Amino acid sequence: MDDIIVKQSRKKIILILFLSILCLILISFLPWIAVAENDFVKDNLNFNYEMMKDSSNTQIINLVRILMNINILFWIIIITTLISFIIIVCYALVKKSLFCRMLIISSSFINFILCIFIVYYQIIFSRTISNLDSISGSMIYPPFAYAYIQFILSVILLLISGSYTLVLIKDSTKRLKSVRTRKKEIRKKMDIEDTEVSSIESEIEKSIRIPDKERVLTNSSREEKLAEIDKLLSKKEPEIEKQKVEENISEQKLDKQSQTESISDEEIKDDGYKTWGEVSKENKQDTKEDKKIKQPFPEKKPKKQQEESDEIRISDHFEKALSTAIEKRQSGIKPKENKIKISKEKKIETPQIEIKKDIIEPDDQAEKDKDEEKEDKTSKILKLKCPECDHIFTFDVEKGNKKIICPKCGREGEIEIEI
Amino acid sequence: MNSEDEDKEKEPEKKEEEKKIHKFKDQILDESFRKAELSKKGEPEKKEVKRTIKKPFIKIGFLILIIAVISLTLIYYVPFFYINYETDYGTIKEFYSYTELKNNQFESELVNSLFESNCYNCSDSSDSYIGLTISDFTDTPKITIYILHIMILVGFIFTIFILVDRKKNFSENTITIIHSIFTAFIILTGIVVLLMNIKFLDAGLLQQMNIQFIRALGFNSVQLIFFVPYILIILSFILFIIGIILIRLNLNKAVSDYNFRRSNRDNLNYRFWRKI
Repeated sequence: MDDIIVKQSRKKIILILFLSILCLILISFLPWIAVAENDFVKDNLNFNYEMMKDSSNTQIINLVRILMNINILFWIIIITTLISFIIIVCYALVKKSLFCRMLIISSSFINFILCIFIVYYQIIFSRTISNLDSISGSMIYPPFAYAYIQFILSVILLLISGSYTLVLIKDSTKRLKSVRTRKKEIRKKMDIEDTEVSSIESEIEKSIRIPDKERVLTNSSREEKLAEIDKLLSKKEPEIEKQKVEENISEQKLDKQSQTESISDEEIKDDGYKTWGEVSKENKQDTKEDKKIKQPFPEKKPKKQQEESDEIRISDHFEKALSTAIEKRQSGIKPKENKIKISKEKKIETPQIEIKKDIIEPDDQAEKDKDEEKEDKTSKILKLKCPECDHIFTFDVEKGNKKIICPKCGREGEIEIEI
Repeated sequence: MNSEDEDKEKEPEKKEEEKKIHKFKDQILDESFRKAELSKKGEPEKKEVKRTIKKPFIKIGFLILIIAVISLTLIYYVPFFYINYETDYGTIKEFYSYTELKNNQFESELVNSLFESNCYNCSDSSDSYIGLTISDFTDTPKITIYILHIMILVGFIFTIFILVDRKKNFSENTITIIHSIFTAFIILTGIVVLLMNIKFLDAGLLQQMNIQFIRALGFNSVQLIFFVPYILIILSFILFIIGIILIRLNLNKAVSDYNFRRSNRDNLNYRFWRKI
């Protein structure tokens, strides 16, 4: 069942239960008939359900039987709704089985049928009253009898139970259809796969089962048939290759992860700065790895050796990462020393720029020339921020003056650039 | 000389700076070492602080037990009904308790005639004009007492089950299923008690409708108040409403748990009427 249907069933169960209990109370509470008495007292004697039960009048007894039937039907409705409520709770919480669903549907269907019977009995009750001369329905206001209240409520109950059963049946039919279509699809897929496999196998078998007469043939014919078998087997090879490639990729991914972890640490320690050499090395590594992945049949190694090698790799990575981190931090201490100096002397701080020149490879020379030009530009003109007034201004390094004066507040400072 | 003095002045400053630099280096080394260790071992697993939530004590069993005990004491110790009637000889006020009604007789014949009519000319169809017979005054309390005893038993069993649940810690699903069965029982008992006693309420309506026939019996005016049945009707109506609320709650829970994961927050707040 869908969530919406469970929610709807929650609402409708409560409504059905409430209305059926209300109807049951009304049966024993409402005055149903009025009997015209013409003996000592000339008036209508109103009868309720209890009075009708104790009456000795045969006509009234016939009417009571109908009311008793209605009463019993309402009791059955109440019990079935309570059972369906428990089943729904069980279905939603514990067992989402087909049996539970069938029980819910059947209980709702029973309720609907019982409601139809109730309405039918009420119609019969009103008709029998109209056929009797001395008995009439007790009235609230002349055309409107007390029995109509019950009738209206039971009709509402019928509609609610009908809609509830309809919703449940629709849902169940949808489910059944979807299950059937799924089964059909699965069967089709299975058949297709079977036919593909069987065709290849049958061809191979045909080729292998050489008739005795043909076996006597010359070696050349055998060679031809062996070639045919090889061809058929070659059809299966790409699939095997694919599987192998997937396995290799997964192994390589694991290696990559371990490598990337170490690399990521280094990147974090570098604070975002990368040299040309490092980038080129990384690119090279990537390309090598890509090449490795592209190789369809890498050499297989025994598992134990691989595990040992992994351990060694991790330890190597760890040592490398530690050493590189320490080296880079030590190299990065110098500008910070300068910073401290500047702060002490109360001079204008400058953004530190580290530009490390490395070997440029001939493959990417054109691009790297452009980058060099950009670097030159950045080295010539700098954006500076005054520590006192936070004024940002540009400064040309080419002029040779290390002393800087803030154009806004006039504070003096020095610039230090590491190249 | 000036340069030498300046150098001397700067020496302590330089030493301080060097110290700071050393500290800074140590910090960086520690950080890098920690990061390297992390890269090797992976991040340490964070210990989740386990939140212990007390299971809500479902008080409905206890509530039903109390209701049943109250209604039993009412039946035995409160007068069952009060009658105030006016005849040609004067007005009479009488109280009848359940123990008195057990003997199946009323003190005055006139009151008896209200439930078993002596007027043979009035009506051939019925002997009682308010829908009550003398047997109703004995049978109805008897049956209600039996039902109340069953209610006490079931309420007691349910409270024991909840107490056992605190120690054995049953799953929430089993508790809700048992709770729903219990609510179904509550509704059934509530309806039975309500229907048993509703005829006493209906007697008032019929008394007004068939007043001509009652006057023919010799009553100028009659006032009937059924204390115990009225209270029982109220209590059973309360039970019925509680049952409906419980059904709603159980179904809501079932709907919320259907295909969804419940958050822990739902267990934190507990109000009496939310999780009875």
